[in-house]
Amino acid sequence: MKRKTNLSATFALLPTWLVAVVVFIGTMAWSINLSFTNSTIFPSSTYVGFAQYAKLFSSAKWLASLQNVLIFGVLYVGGCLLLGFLLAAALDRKIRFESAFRTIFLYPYAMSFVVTGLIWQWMLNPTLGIQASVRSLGWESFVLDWVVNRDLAIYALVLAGVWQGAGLVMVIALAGMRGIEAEQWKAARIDGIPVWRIYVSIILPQLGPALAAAGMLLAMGVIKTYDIVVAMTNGGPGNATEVPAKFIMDNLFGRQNLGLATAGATVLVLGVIMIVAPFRYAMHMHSKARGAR
Amino acid sequence: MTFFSQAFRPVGSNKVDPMLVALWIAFILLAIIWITPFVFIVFTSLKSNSTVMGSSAFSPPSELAFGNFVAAWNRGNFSTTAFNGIVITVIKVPLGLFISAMAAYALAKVPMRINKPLFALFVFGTMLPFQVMLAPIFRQVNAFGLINTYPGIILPYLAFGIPYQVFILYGFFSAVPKELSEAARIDGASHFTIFRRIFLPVSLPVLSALLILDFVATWNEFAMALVILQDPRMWTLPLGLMNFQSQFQSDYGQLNAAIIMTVLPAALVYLMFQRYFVSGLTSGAVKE
Repeated sequence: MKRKTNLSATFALLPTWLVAVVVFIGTMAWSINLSFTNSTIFPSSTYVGFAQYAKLFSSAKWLASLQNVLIFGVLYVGGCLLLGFLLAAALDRKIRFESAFRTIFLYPYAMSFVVTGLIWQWMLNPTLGIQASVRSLGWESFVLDWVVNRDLAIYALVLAGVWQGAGLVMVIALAGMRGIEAEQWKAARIDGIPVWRIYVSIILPQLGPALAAAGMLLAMGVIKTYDIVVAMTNGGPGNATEVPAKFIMDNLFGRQNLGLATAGATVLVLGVIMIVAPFRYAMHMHSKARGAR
Repeated sequence: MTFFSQAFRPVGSNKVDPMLVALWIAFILLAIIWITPFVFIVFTSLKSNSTVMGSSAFSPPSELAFGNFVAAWNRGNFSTTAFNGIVITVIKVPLGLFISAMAAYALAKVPMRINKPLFALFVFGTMLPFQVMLAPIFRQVNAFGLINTYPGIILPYLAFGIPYQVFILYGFFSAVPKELSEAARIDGASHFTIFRRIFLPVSLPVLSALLILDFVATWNEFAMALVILQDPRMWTLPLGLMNFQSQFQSDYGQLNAAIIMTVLPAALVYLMFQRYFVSGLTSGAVKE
């Protein structure tokens, strides 16, 4: 009996084992190994130590892309969480036409990053989009040229990203708010606590796990950011919107530089582990503590 | 006028609340920003090319050029890309979810010593950016001769979809009361029966949430498809759309018609199943 149990469970886990070992560990080992070689189009076995890493960190493009993904990630995830929470709180105030508003704020999440990028590229394109329309109405000096402006292009990406993702946070937060018992509201109102304080001090902590799940879903997308950049700015103007994922893809397939690309990939993995692991560990301990109670 | 005076009252109240008026105004402004791109695409998709250039982007089309949709469909080869997208999504999404659910059940409910390290590995897997594995996966797929084939793209998709789904389902399955499965176990039911008869039905909300999420993600996936599907006959919709954009850059009417056709299936699925999506995702997160 016992043996049979483990056999069927092992069978159920077989595909996932395969994925874990072959895909995660195998490819990672392969990548790290190659990052110490001088591989170009084909993998080579000439080891060059940390030369690829030195080259990587002397590349202005790589440094710019690291900085960009940091700015984008913080503002995108933060913006989505903040705006999503505010929208949910507003909808929670028993506003009229709630379902219409919900649909309006949610529909962008069904759009791919490619489509989001293309749309906002036109909207912010000076000769076609909003700028041209406002000017044709008579305001000749109106300027909205984010996608072609070196200093503002990265914020154009953030705007497009928040437009796409805030609705997801909103529906998740709203579902959480609807789950909060009426008693808590009553008690807080009797104590004379202002509405905004109730949201910040009572409701926000209770939504923690749900918001963390939403934040994780968004953050997982940040490091992979590629499609939206290709569709919107293609990394330009200059290096203003280069991102690491694009750097790696370009070096893999465009420039045929396997060694440099795998070095970049390795740095990216290390960065992700350093940022995410402590956060994950904290969440794990937190849920463990709750389970013990 | 009655419409407005109605709108500014909380439901079930007769007084006009000034807070609510301010909220409404801020809200409507934001909603306008949110809906502007939609208006822009729909309007442009219905304009002939000469009208696009001659008029403001936000003026409604004077005569509806539905021909844009037909022209874009044919020029962009959308029958091929849509077909490929459907084949890949219909095979990948249920299969991936089934594998994840089995694994999550085994991890959560069958005590084995190996479970902990495997689960840790999956948590690690959810954090990995897939570009890290793109080069080796491309080489592997190439070595098996699977470039430009359905299995060649479906297998990597499966690999990248599984960790997050296992993670969420594991949390949900762990929270299912022991008594439920223990009783069936004593009656002699096998693990597979318990999985199929008890766990799949109770986790239907989470499963449908993951199904929707995965459907939209697979339908819209771009980077991996770009690498593995190089033959235009094997392209999926996002690839077709990007190519259309670079090839017919100045045909704005047709381009926007193409966008609408690409987005429509995912948007419909998403808005129709919104409710399940939210309840499933939050129940999974809260019980984690």
